[in-house]
Amino acid sequence: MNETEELQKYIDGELSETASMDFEEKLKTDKTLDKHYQSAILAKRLSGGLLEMDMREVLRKSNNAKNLRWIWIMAASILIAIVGVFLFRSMLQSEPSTYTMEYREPMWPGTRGSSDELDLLLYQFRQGEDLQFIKRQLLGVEEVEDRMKAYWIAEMFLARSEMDSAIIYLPDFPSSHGKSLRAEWFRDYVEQQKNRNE
Amino acid sequence: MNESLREVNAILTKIRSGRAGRDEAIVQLYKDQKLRNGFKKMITTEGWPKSTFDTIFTDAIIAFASSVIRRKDFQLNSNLRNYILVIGKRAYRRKNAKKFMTTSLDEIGDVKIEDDIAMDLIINDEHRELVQMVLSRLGRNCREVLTYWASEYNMKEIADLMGYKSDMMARKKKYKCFKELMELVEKYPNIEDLLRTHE
Repeated sequence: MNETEELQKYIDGELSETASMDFEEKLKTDKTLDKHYQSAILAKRLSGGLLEMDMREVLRKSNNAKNLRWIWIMAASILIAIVGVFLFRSMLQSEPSTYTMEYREPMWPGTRGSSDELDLLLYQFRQGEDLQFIKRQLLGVEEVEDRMKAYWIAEMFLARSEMDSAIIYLPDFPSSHGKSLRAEWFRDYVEQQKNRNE
Repeated sequence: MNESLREVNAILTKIRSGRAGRDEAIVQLYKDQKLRNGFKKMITTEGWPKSTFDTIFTDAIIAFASSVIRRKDFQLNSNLRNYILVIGKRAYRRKNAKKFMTTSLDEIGDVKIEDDIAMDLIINDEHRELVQMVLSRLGRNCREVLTYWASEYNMKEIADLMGYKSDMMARKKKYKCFKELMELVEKYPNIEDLLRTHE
C-alpha cells in the first residue's frame, strides 16, 4: 500500500486500529506526510464544494437558455416590426389610394387689411367671391410671377373640389422650392379623389 | 398521502437519484413560478435590494439540494416552497450578519429549519469563479464521485448512482479522482483562503 492509498484509507476510516495509530505516529514525525495529510483534508472539504459548483453550473445554463429564448423572441419581434414597416411603406408608395387622404388647407397668405393685391384677392376668394372672377383678376396682377399665379389658381380650384381644373393649373416646382412638398401632396390628393370617384 | 407530500417526496427522490435526476429537480425548482414569486415577495417585505433576488434564490435551491444529498435521512413534512424560502432567508441573513443583529427566528408558516442547512454552501461568493476554475480541471465524473464520497455515501451507493459495475470500481475511481484533487490543492495552496469559514 503506497502512501497516498494509506492516507485515503486513514481519512475514510478504513485502516485498522493499529494501522491508524502507526499512521498517526508517522504524521507527527514526517513533515512531508503531514503536508499531504493537510492537503487531503482540504481536498475532502473541497469535494463538498464540487456539488455546489456543479449545481450552480446547471442553473446558470438553464438561466442562459431562458435568456437566449427571450433574445430570440425579441429579435423575431424586431424583425417582424421591420418587415411590417417596410411592407406598409411599400403599400403607401405603390398604392396611394388605399388610405383616405383628407383635404388640407394651403398656407393662405394675406389678411383683410393687407395692401398686397394677391393677398387681397385670395382673401376675397376665401370670403366666397366667384372663383372665375378672382382668377381673371389674379392673372392681371403684374408683380406676381406666372408660376405663383398658376399655383394659387390651382389651390382655389382644389378648395372648391374642382380636381380636373386644379391639376391643370398646378405648376412644377423644383425640389428645393418651398412649395414642392405641397405640390407633391396636391397631386397625390387629386389622384386619390379621382380614383374614388371612378 | 396528499398531493403536496407526494410532490415533496418526488423531488427528494429525484435529487438523490444521481446527476440527471438532481439536475432535473433543481431546474424544476428554479423555474417554479410560485417559488420565484415567494422569494420576490419576501425580498420586498424584508426591504432587501431587488438585485439580490437571483443570488438568494439560487443559493437557497443549492443549499436545499445539497442538504437533501448529504442527509440521507432527511425528510420534509412541511410545505416545500416555504422550507426553501426559509433557507434563502437564513442564508442571506448569515451572509449579512452584521446588518442583522437580532436573533429572531426565520420562520414562515409552520416551517423551522436546522441551523446549519443555510451553511451548506461552501464556496465563498467573491472567489466563486476562481474556485470553480480550479475545480473544473477535474472531469465531471470525478467531481460527481468525490461529491458523493464527501457526502458520506458508501462505495456501493456510489457505484449504483454512477452506474459502475461494482463497489470496487467506485473505490478505484474515487482513489484516482481524490489523488487528482490533492495534486490540484498542492498546486494552488491558497485555495483554502477562498472557501467560506462559517465561524
